[in-house]
Amino acid sequence: MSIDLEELRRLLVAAGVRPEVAEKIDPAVPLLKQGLDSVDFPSFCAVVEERAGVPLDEETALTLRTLNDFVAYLAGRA
Amino acid sequence: MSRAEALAALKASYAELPAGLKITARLFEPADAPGVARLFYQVYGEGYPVDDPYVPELYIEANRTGRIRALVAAAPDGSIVGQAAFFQSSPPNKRCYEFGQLLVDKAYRGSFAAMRLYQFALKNMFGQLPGVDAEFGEAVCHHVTTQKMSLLGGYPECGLEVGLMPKAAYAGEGATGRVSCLLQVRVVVPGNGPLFVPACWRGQVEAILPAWPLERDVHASGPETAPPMDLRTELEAQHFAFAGVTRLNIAMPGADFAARIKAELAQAKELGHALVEVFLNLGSPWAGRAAEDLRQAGFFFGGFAPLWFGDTAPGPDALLAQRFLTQEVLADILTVRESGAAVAALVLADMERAGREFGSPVAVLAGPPVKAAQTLGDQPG
Repeated sequence: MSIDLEELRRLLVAAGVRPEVAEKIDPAVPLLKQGLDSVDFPSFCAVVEERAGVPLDEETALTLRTLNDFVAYLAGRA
Repeated sequence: MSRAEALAALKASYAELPAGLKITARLFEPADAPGVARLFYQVYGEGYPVDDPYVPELYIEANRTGRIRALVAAAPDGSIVGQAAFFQSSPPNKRCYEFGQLLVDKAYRGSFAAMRLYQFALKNMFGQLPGVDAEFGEAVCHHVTTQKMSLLGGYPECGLEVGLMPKAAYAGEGATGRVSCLLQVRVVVPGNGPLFVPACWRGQVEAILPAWPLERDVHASGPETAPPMDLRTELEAQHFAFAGVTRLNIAMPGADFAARIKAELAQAKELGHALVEVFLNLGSPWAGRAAEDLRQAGFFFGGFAPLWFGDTAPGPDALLAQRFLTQEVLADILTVRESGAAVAALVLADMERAGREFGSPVAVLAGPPVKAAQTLGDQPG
């Protein structure tokens, strides 16, 4: 399933990230450098996993650092 | 099997789990009980104060009867990497469950195990368990991880248990004093009973009430409405030696209430406790009188706990009042949201008031004042 940046921003909010934070995320910069923490990131991965229907194990998740990485990964699994 | 026998067996059979196991979160099954016992033993050694998790048959029975409703993070081979639970704890309303006991194996602390447990609870348990009126959490405030998870579960902030836990309990996490906990309650079955709002803490209660859509028959309750002379106080005391806390549930304040509180304070002092917490039934027409007695005894407002009481129906609600017995130093109080910081601020302001007015011991923050944790969204530009 292909998921675009706007959808990923919505999923960030669904994962508990504040909307004003999600809106300002630079898709090319690592999420953990933009206000996401050790709760937000796995929560976001779990929400993406459910929305995309793609299993996202920890080993893979930790290679996805930016929103652009997520877009590319999910497009490759489409 | 006794606790001692269970601990001896755990000690003899203990083994570390290999790292890197694939984890799935799911409901607890009886076959998981030995793995849960191993996990508690790894995290707490022999010191966990309750027998159930160490003794598999007790834990299985507690889950069968619904006293505990556990979930686990399990590997395909059945190894238990993490667990969390809804459980009956302090509230007299046994349909008001606490959510907590979140434990993750040391080899998996940096993994997604905790979040997988939370996501499972979010999808399958929070607000969905049969026979549950309310769920609550007590999230430590020297970091915001637990609070964030509770907020994901839809638990609004409604009180601050100032200095609830001793510094020693979180020594490994750099706590600089007694650790405060944010009380967060999710209402599942709102009920619709009376709510007697004590005059002396009316502003605080009214500030918190909009957190839920509660339908209450609200009455102002002043100190002038005294209980009948022959009405005796119904009080249940819980003593937590490790934490140095006495917790009192006041199901019914009677004519002897002020004297009973005085006696309980004396006993708590004798036990060497640092803090006394009182959960006062706000379904009682004499709540206002009792709250004034507490205020005169040096207590300060701690929070509003919906559905804390109730035998056969959801509610009534409770007011939390607190009093320190000795001067204490507090670890930092961090909150995720401004709403949590606002609750903390009104509690701490009333603690200061109690110190000024009645000379009650107060707890002092070791670090900066309460602040919602800064995120990108708080930064200018």
